[in-house]
Amino acid sequence: MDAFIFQIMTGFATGSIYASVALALVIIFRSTHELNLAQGEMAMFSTFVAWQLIEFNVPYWGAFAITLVFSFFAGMLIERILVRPAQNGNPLTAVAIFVGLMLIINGMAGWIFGFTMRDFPSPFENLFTGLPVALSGHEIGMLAVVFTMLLLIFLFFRFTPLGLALRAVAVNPESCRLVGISVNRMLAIGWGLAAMIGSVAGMMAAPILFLDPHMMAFIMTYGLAAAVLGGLDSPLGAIIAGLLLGVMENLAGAYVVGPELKLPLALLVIFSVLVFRPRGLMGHVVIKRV
Amino acid sequence: MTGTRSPQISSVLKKVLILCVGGFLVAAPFLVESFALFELTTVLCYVTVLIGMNLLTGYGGQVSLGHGAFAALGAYSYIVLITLGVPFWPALIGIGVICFIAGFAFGFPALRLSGHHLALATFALAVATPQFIKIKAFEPWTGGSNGSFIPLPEAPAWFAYGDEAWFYYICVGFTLLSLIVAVNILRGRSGTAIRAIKDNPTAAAAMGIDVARYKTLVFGVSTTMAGLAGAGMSIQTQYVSPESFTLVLSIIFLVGLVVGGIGSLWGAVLGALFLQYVPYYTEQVSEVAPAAVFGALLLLTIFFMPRGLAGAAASATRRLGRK
Amino acid sequence: MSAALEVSDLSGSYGQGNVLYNMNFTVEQGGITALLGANGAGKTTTLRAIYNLLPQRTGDVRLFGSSTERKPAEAVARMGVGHVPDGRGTFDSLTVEENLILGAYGRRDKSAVRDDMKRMFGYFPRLQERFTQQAGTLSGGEQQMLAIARALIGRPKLLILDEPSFGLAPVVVQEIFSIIRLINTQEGVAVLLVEQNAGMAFALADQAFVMETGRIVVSGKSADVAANEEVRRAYLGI
Repeated sequence: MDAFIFQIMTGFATGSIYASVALALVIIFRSTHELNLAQGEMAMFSTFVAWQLIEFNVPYWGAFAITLVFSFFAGMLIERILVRPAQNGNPLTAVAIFVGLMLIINGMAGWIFGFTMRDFPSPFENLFTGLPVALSGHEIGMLAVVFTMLLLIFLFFRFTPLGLALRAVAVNPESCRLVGISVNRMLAIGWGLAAMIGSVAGMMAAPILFLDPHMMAFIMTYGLAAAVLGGLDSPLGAIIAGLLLGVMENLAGAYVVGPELKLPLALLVIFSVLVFRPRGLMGHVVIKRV
Repeated sequence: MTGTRSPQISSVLKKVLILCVGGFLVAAPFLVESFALFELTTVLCYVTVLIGMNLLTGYGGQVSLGHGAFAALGAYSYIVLITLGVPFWPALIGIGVICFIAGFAFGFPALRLSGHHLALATFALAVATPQFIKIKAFEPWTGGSNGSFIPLPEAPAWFAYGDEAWFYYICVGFTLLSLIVAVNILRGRSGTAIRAIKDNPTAAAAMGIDVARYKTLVFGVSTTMAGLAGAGMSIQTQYVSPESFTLVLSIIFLVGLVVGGIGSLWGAVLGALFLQYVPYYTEQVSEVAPAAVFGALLLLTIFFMPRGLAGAAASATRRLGRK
Repeated sequence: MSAALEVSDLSGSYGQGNVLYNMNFTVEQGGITALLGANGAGKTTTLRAIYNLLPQRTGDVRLFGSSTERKPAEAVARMGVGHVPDGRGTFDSLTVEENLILGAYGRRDKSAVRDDMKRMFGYFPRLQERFTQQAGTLSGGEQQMLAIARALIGRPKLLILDEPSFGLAPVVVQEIFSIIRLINTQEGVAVLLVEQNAGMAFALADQAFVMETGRIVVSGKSADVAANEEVRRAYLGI
């Protein structure tokens, strides 16, 4: 029984990473109806930036903060120079842009930082050791960081004028313009936020997975699955689905399919949701006009 | 007057081009060294995949990031069939059938997915593929993560130029067959239907076109081509492993499709040549990050040459004809 | 004093072929002007051109004397215009309160926004009752009220209403039009009323312009235009 609870708790911890990636995907999807397939690579690159800063003897939390700022502006820049000019409604164009972005970021990370696996420090390694829980210090700290971030993002969207404007753009972009909100700026800010959230996921996952240019592929797949399961346009749905998938994955890995089938499981989730319940757990029904 | 001359010139150009390419393909085993022949065989396999993807994306309007997975299915079906003692030719037909059924089965639910959703589902499929192959239960056939050796089919007694050349001619045959199938699908009723569905699925359905049938059919045909090409690539390297079929392969296919040119069968040929020969140059540009160069080329194509090399070539010949 | 809105020689197109031809009209500060015409005459297109939302436009559009040339729609909106779009354009999954806050997005004096919100409840008491409800759950008339309040809370000097009567019961239209009159006199806001429902618009407006296929065909004092039998029959179908 203890082992079972342990599986649920570690599942919850990894689930929080999936939830973050899913949330980043949903923030972009809500306003542009595009799935940023390069989200994982962006997070990976940010994590490398943090790693480099720490190598330069910047204290951990300093590096963490600088990485957040870097990711925010990098996300805005990518939206501005690559994503916005290519808006032509053709799904292939969007997919090709994201794939190109994936390749470039991945190649650049390998070029600048190398393809070898690297240790990434955790600031929580020696904390929380005396607690009567089965999680490692890092996992507890990770949960704390991710949930603090999710809370801050919730407060931002719920209670600030900028957060409200971001939500409004997802609802009715033209009305936004007519009340004087620059939709373009909101889209860029959305990308910045998503990149920032992804970078937190990357920095929290890196001590567990080791850091290399392919680190995020697995997480990204589960993040996608969580975003889809949550309904693609529902931030809360994405978070719940992410946690749920983390737990499910761990339980299935331990008791049902074995660790080698974890990715096919994510695929199964994506496919069955898309086919049988495209609006996921909490999404809205999208009615397409002819 | 100049307007009437241009199609003549481009059709003459086309005929000359086809003759040259055809002649070269037949003579290649006697002209080039064995490594160059190896490369050429790979190009043919790429052409086959890209024709299939072009049918799906360029004419059908659906985006797949998972054709690498169907290439894997083709390669591993071949291994299993050969291990079971099935002879070469029946095995090839077997691969075709398996990949068509798989594509049809995947395409059926994929029907309900539009644009990004299909890309997303196939993306996940491509990511998960190596793990599927590594499943322990299949190890006796697949060789698990260690991979598996594949014998090159033996040339018949009357063919005196060796197994490599024999296999090369088989690939030429299959590429031509794919081309003929594609041209036949695109001409006539089915082609009109496919284009109508791409432009406006609801209106097409209202006109009495069976959207579901055509979409799954196109998906099945394109995965069949991917499967056969996947088998071809593995047979000629005589080795497969799960790492041959990661997401990277599917991405490479997509790059070839976009750079070659969407909605043009010539684009498939140009894209295949690009995939085979350009990496030599990209490695010179950046030895450690050829992926980045590939990505940059992909983005440059999207922004500055949206119809790819084939589109650029077409407008160049049109300009030539006008002069 | 320059006019609230001055449109001179405005032509525009969606790409190929003009859809607007040489339009000239003005909305005086503090006045109510009606832009009338049948469905498809180009009324909403004219508004899109004013906001630079048409792919191509030529001519001059001035708001309170300054040109809108090359300004994105959101910048035009910040030049003192409150817009009530056709189909109301409320943010359906956001609450009434949030809709109103968004209306004040461009304002710096956030502290005064709450007072203005109360003032809006004076005109539209029903919005106060629905304050925490999602806009999508409101009735058509209530949504129209919300759209007007959202436009007014940005403290515009010109209020543009695009078909405010559309899809509403006559009683509700009556109510909304009398509130528009009230707002015009109490707030000193100029009004450009774009309508298909000409009968009620004539009663409200002092100036009227009638459009047909992208052109202004008749213009003048509202009462004069209303009295013109030919106009009524040919262009407005009444």
